[in-house]
Amino acid sequence: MPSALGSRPWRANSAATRGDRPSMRGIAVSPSISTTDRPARAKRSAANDPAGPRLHHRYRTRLRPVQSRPCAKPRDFPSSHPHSEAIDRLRNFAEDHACGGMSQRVNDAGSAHFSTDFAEFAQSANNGLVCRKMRQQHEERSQTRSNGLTLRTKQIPPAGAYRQEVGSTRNDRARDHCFRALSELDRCLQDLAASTVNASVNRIACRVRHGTRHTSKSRWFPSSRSMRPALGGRHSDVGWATGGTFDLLYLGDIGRSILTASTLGAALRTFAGFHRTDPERLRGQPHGRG
Amino acid sequence: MIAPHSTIAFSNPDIWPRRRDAEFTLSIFYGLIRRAVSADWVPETLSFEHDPNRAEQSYCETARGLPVQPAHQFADISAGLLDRAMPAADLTLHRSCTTSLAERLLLSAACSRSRAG
Repeated sequence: MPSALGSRPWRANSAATRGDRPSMRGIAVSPSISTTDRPARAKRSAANDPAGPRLHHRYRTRLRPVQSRPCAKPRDFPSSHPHSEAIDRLRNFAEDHACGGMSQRVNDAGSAHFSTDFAEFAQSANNGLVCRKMRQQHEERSQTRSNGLTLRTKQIPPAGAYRQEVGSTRNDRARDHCFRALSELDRCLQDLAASTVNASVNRIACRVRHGTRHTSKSRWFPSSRSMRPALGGRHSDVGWATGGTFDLLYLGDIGRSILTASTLGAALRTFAGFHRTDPERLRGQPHGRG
Repeated sequence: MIAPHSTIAFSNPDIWPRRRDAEFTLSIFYGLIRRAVSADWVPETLSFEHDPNRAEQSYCETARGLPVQPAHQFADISAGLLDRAMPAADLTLHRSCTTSLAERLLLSAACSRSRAG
């Protein structure tokens, strides 16, 4: 085909050469319209050509209809995905605690982002606690300022013996995940409060990021300002409300090791001890001591 | 005579505002201790650095009128509680999880060293 067109390559995409598209047969197209910059040239031709409207109409007929960009396909978490377990736990948590909004969003295909957040938070918390680099950084920082969680007891361990980073994670990104997950949960609880306290709540549209392609879609959430009257002018207690029902198994092996400790002291020490304990000593420490 | 007690305190300057983070963390400990002691256990002292608000009502409701002190974030518990047995105690699983985490810690350290080198 290129050899037949010779010096008129524009015909390569003209309607007259598209024999395989019956709807385009017989439509004359101005040679000045090339395959590139079509909209701009169409506007110019429509404005300057005496037969502009007609030509423009013809041109528009051969343009492909502008289709809206499809939403990003949500992430699919197969059973082999490392996050699938955390997502299942999150879904069960939401269902068990009647967080209908969150459960719906977890089940909603578009809310895979939040699930990812929570799963990444759990995973990062799991990994972050065993990161030597983080431990070293924290030990360096703890020399000059109080940092992390400090478990002090007057019995066995000395004051300030155990430090743990809980709630925060090893880097800002993971911490942002944590806050986003909590914020989402806060919205869900506020939804519950709105449905029980104040049924007519002014809602605002928020831009929610879905998936990994930063595709935005408007969703409606109650604004903090509008929720303030419903909450009695105070902040919500989502942190306290969710912490009591938080399943430590979300944290993976750390949670299991905490819950399976023989005594409460051992559990608290395990909770706080991974951060600072040397791995060699950790493997050789006596288990279950209170 | 003041009974021996343990204190769970934390203050991470990298997290701010940390109202929810502090409540969330202390609440996890609260639930963990309740799991081991009893469902109606309350700490001797519960303190947060942020101002009292709706959360305070929640604490008081769950802690039965426990005074919440607006100071540093900590919770005092009786030291005798540390010997309470955990309901899901499993020494074998505890040991395997701890060993697994320690190995991951060593692997992470080795990776960090290789990257640095």
